[in-house]
Amino acid sequence: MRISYSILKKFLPDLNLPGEELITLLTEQGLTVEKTWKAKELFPFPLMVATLNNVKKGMLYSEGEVHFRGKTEKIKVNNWGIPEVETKIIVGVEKGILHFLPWEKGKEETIDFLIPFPFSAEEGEDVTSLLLDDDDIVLDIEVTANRGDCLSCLGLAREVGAKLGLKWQIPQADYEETDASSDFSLENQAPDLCPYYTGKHLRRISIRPSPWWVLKELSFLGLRPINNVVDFTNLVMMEIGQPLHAFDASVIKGRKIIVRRAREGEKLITIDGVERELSSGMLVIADTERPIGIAGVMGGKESEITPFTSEVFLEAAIFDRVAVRKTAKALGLRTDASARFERGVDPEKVIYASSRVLHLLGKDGEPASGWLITGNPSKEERKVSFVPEEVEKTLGYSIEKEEMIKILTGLGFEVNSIRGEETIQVTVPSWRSDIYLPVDIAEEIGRIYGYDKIIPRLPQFPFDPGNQDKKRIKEEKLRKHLVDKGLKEIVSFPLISPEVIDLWGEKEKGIEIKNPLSQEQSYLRPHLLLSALEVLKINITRGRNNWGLFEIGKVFRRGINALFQEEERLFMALTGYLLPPLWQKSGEVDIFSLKGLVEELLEIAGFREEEICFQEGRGFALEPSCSFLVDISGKEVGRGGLLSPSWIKEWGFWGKIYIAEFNLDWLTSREEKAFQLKEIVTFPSVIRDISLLVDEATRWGEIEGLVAQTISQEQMEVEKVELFDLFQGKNVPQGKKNFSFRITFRSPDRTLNDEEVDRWIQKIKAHLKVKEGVLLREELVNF
Amino acid sequence: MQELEEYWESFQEEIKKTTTLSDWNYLKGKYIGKKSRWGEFLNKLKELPPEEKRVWGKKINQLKKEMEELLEKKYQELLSTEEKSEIDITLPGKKGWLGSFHPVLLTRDWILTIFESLGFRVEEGPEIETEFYNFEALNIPPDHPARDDQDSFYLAPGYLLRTHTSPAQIRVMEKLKPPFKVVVPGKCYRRDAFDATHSPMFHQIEGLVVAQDISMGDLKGTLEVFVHRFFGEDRKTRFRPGYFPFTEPSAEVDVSCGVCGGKGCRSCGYSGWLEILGAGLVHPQVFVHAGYDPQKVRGFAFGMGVERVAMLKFGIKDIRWFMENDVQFLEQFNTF
Repeated sequence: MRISYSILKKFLPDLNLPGEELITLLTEQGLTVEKTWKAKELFPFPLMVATLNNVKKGMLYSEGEVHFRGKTEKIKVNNWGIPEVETKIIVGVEKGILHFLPWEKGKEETIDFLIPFPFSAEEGEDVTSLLLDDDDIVLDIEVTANRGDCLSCLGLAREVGAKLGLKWQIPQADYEETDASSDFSLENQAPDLCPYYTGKHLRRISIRPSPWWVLKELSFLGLRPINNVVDFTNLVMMEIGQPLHAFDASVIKGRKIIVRRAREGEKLITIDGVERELSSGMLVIADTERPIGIAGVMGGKESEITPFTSEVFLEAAIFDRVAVRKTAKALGLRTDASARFERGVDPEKVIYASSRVLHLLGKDGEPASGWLITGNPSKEERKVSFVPEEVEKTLGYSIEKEEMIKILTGLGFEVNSIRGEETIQVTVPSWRSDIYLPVDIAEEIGRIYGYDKIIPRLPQFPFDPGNQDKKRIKEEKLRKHLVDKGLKEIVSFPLISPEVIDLWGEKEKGIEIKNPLSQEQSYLRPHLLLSALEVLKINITRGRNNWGLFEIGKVFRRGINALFQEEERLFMALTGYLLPPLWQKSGEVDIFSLKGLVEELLEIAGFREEEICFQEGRGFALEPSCSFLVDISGKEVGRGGLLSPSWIKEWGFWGKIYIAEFNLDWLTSREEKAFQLKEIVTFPSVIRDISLLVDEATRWGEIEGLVAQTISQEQMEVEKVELFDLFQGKNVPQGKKNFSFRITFRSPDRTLNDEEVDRWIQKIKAHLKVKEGVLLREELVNF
Repeated sequence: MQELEEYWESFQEEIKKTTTLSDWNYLKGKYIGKKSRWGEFLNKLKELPPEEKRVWGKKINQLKKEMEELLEKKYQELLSTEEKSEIDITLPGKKGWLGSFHPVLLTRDWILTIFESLGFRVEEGPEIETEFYNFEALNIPPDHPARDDQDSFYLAPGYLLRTHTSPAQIRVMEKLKPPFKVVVPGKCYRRDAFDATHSPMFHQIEGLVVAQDISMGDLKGTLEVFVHRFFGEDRKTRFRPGYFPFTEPSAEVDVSCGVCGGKGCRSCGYSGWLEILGAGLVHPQVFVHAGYDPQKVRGFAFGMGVERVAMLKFGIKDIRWFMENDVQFLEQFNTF
């Protein structure tokens, strides 16, 4: 909502506050001033006086000559918009070139209208400062959805007046009507959607340009001037907040206005020239044959006021908020009128608003006697009772009862305070459809008294024992570990395209957004990989080659028990080298870098090595020969591996990227066992190495399993078994490979002797040899 | 005494392979320590004829001495490997990766830590919500104009991606018994196209305190503590009346601009203030929806956009950078 200081002063004649202070006052009262202009800034050119003469009337257009500073320019103007006699007019001048309102119009076109200069002046004089107050400012104010009443100059004036203790006044609305009654009739078929409808019939309308002051105020208010009838209805809507509409009465069929629901599929071309298809929930203003306007939203093109309009039907009504909102939304047509009806208009200003238009029209129209009216404007008076002490408790500071009453009275509330009684009863003013409860009253008092007066207090909260979510603590630990390991946390965009979800292969379990902004963002991610894909791509294509990334976030799919299922996941991606180029001979990230990271996380999460089982496992998007799944006590908790190079190629990027994705809910929900500290063993250890030749296909895990089996069967004192060498080729027979591993023996209660350890080693070796294809290295003399 | 020869050979082979001090230590134990076989060899000496005894005895002593010398030499060698070779200390170090937290989540964590230190619980809520929790229970009936500001993504009739963390207010009230104070972080979704300050997905932190006596003063006091800790002791807080259907009275909360100190500059649109959050006292109707008696409890609630706060904190101009995750952007946060 825009307003100028000068307009505000019309409603608050005693206003005498510097502009800067007004801005602060409004903002601190909840009417945030978003933008300000100097009045002059809204007029792109200096305003000057020119002389119009030699007017020659044509059929539709008139020709004339404009004299300005010794030059003469021939112009073509709409017949209705040109004074008939020699006149001083206002022009905008830029580098000697003349402009006419509305300024944006091209030079060759016909000029809509000329504005006579309202005072006496010399031709060529710069009258900008005469027409526009140097100090005048225009404010753009953000009005919250609950304050429909502030979408008007009057509403804003009331707010400022309440704060400053100034009386507001409403502009004049007296008019003279003729004795002739109207031949129009009115029928309301939808009183539920239109509780109150008023119409005034005017004859002998003279369409002209609006006077300068109206043009000026419309410019401040952000509206484009059209002609007197339209401009007056627009201006009054801005002044009072009551939308009005003027129909060209001569095109209304059957001399009858019908308020009714639209018929399904009924069509209407609105003033903006667009053909609208209506549906049955919408309210229209119709004549006996067709709709002529969409109630509360926009009028029809055919009944629009034109220079040839000779009679007018002026509508002022109240339309149902929800109905107007739905209609405007369905048509994608938000107008100044719909915005006001949606938020509620003052039922007591309907007739006044129309009268104000009649007042402004004056001799330019002849109102028929009486009004056409259906319904009733007056809702029942709303009364709210409140206890001043409760208001103080809400606001957190003390405030005199008299001050409360003063504030409420200033805002237009009727206050009924009975001496000696605790409760105060107020009658809510007709324009405040947002006030129902005592807390609403408290907010009003707080707003005007000033939120700056709220005394911040160190809260005296009652004791809340609080909580400490174990899962969250564990999640934080995992996050921190990943960062410590050099990974960067990402937040990818959870909405993905149909192409990306297709990759998943279980699209039917995916969740589609019914009203996406674009196809690109029409599914919820079922895997973090699918949303992180874009992040991987951006980094690779920008030549960022060495990184580790991770994300913690939710994935979504259709559920079995619930309609939708959310699951917290952890995603990781690694690529490139861990060290600077000089040291890169080793150290390129590979599948075992990833596996190691996963092992660290699992250990931190509290899983024991014995429970964790890495298996070859395929997953979508993973290279089958280089991927794994992690099984913990028979449950799959995640997968990882090399992101398939052929797969990412289709997405326009490349690289050896290792990824893993885990169910985080599961990782962090491990029951914590009572911590048991192990004794620190200080007896010396005995180390033995074993080298084996095994078949190429034999996996380390099998050998490790056999060793572990013997160790536990024989109750050996083993601290750890570590593989330290793995090779093939030279010195190893065809089809075989070499595993060398070291066993560290250590007992918690004694020093082990060599004989004992040797015996154990022999047992381990013997057990290993049971497996087919296993050869102990020492058994081979030549190979 | 063939075993002695083998013992010597295996020593020589092993010492050649020894490259670390711990391996050296192991070797020393094996060949000249307690575990060594010298005792065993000396015992065997007794069984030999006297002349052989002399030869072998000498041999044993010689080899043992040699072993000790070789071990000592190896020790010195290992010890000084690094000192001896001329190093170029200007060569790049073996610097590994440095990780970083995402700036939005870092900001979220900082905010949560402040409130946790004030005794707030941290709770969570689902990202897929019902219309009841997201709107109706928060006093936003269908066709309320406030729904325009929160255009939502629908998944099925009645189900949508939450447009704010406020539905967690209802869930928390259903779960806990007052008095309590909670903060709820999480992702939210609105049907806004991407631009420099809007994203269809963003993070919010909701705060809710419910107790018997709560006033705007408590809200202001709490948020002032937050502002001072998060932005700095010199920053001021301003409360302006605002509108949220689920709070009454409602307030918009501004913090004084850190660039100009409140005088007005480009960063704050020449107002001296930056809007950081919305807040207010819990609307009685919200209590009713959550099954509470508004006569018996009061509460305050606030909600802040984490991205917005992070942008202010780090001077980030475009919200899209958060979602792009370019490592060159992310790595700048590795000092936090």
